[in-house]
Amino acid sequence: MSVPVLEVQDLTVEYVSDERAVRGADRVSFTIHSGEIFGLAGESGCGKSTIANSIMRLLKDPARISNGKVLFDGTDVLGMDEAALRAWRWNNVAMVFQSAMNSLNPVTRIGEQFIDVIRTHRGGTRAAALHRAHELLKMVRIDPVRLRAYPHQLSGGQRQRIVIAMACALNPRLLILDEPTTALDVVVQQEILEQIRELQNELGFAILFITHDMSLMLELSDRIGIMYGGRIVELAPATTLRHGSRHPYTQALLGAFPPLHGPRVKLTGLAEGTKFTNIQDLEDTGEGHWVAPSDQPVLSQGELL
Amino acid sequence: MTSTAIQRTAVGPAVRIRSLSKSFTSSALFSRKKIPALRDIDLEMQRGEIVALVGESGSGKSTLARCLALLETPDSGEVLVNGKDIAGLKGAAVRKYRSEVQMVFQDPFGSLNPTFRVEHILERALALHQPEIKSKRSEMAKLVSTVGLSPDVLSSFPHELSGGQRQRIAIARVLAAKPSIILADEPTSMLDVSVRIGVLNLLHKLRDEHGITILYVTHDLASARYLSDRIAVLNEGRIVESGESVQLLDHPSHPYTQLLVGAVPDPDRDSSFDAPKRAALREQIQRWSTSANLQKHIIDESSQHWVLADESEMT
Repeated sequence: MSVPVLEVQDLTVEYVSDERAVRGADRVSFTIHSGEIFGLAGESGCGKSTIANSIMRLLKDPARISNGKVLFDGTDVLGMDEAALRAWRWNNVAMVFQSAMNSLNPVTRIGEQFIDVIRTHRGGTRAAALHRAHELLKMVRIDPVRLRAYPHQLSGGQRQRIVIAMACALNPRLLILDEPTTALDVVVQQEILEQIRELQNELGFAILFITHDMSLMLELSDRIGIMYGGRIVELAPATTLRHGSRHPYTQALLGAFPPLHGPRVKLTGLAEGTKFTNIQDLEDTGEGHWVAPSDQPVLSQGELL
Repeated sequence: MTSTAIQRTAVGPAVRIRSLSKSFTSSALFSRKKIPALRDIDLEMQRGEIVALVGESGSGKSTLARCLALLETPDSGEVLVNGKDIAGLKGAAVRKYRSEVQMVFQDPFGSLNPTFRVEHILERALALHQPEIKSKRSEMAKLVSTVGLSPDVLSSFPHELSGGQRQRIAIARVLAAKPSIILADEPTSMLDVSVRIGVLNLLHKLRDEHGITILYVTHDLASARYLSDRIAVLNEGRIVESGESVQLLDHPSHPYTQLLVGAVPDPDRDSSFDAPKRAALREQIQRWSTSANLQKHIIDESSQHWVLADESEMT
């Protein structure tokens, strides 16, 4: 197989305080291939955003990457100095943050912000940058006239599209999307995701997609890693995960989303206070399906309401 | 009509809302504009029924719940709760009403006082709403076990509990008032996904075991289908479609409901997005919402499924 775009090996991140260190991510490994959509799912505090931030080298004190490797196209990201990082970010990998629509500068016109991004990372003239901004806005189906608008003149969905267009401005090979649609209504959410798919078809980047919404994740991703307590407990292609998940936590997550069709069955989710401790390393069960062994009983579901 | 339905109407519905309207005034520097939040709402809830109000943000669903909780005053219309008009309630009658109709809020982090232990929070609710109870301790233990927690949590502070546990405490506090109606405004949207179902199951249990009528306000169609008997879809302050949950979501008739149903992520769907169809739906919503000739059309009598449609477009 070709060299993966991103390879994360045994990544361990600790949040260190005077008394103790908390592991935000614990020996996490996964790879993303060119043009692939890889999803990381889990609940708040499970370490998904920690992973994203450590790939981008955005972690600040007290967080510390204490072990592991992040390879982008085979180059070591953790060893880069500031100058190399600046050249690498946005040109090769771009990130859209949670509630990114609020990350636009409220006192600067949209067009100016595009020019700023493009010229900082790639140089060139204002005219060329503006031309590119036109193209990008058309790609996300917003009238280029809106380049003269201020962020508050646009709706939440439009702003989110603009942030995504901005992330794609320099044709990155990898796009990290951290809960890109969490603050949006379902209808808008679907349109944004469609937009992302379209852009991906056109530009061919790979995506690291982070969310807690399993149904969304199953619909969009090619492969999915489920995180719990800083560890990946199950890693599998989306279709395998949907019908053949093996880890009880994955099943609890899947069971937390009632279906929109079919008979109404009683779901149980995860019992209050259930904890998984001492999660083992993943074991290969064949066909790209990796599961951490667990001694907790598998959940039974399906009683009719 | 089934025999149970006849019995229910004999006692009268728990909530009967008739042509309720509410608007807010938005004031810019030189202009004042009335923005309608609720338009001519008719809604009935039978005793022990769970009704879900669904719609996007700004559709008016929280405003309707807040009108019922006496947190907003409607501009016009009539609200009867257990047969009594709630407009113009004063003093002791308001307090009594508030025991009767309780609200569960979205944010369990903001709705519990962080400086008190759980026991104080519950004791306060008991003292206010059921002062006749002597053995508060055992009543509190009963309350927390009803919501599926162990009595140990009584001595905890809210910050020591998880989001799901906190929401359960908020529900226990609501139960301390012995309400006959619970208004649950997005009670699970701030909780971690794996515990959401637990809270929905708890609400379901309260209905089954205590016969509490529940108004469930949500934007999540799947959870509305899971929990509620009946769904009312709100769009721009109007109930545009209503009916028994499964029937309504299997046969959405209003373009707005179709839009919402089509937007719910579903891994089994083959083609997820159809731009021209979407545009057509939006156009139809626009046409219907400005139409002067809106009529209720019965889609299915037995499941009380109706849609507010433009006269000329229904065949």
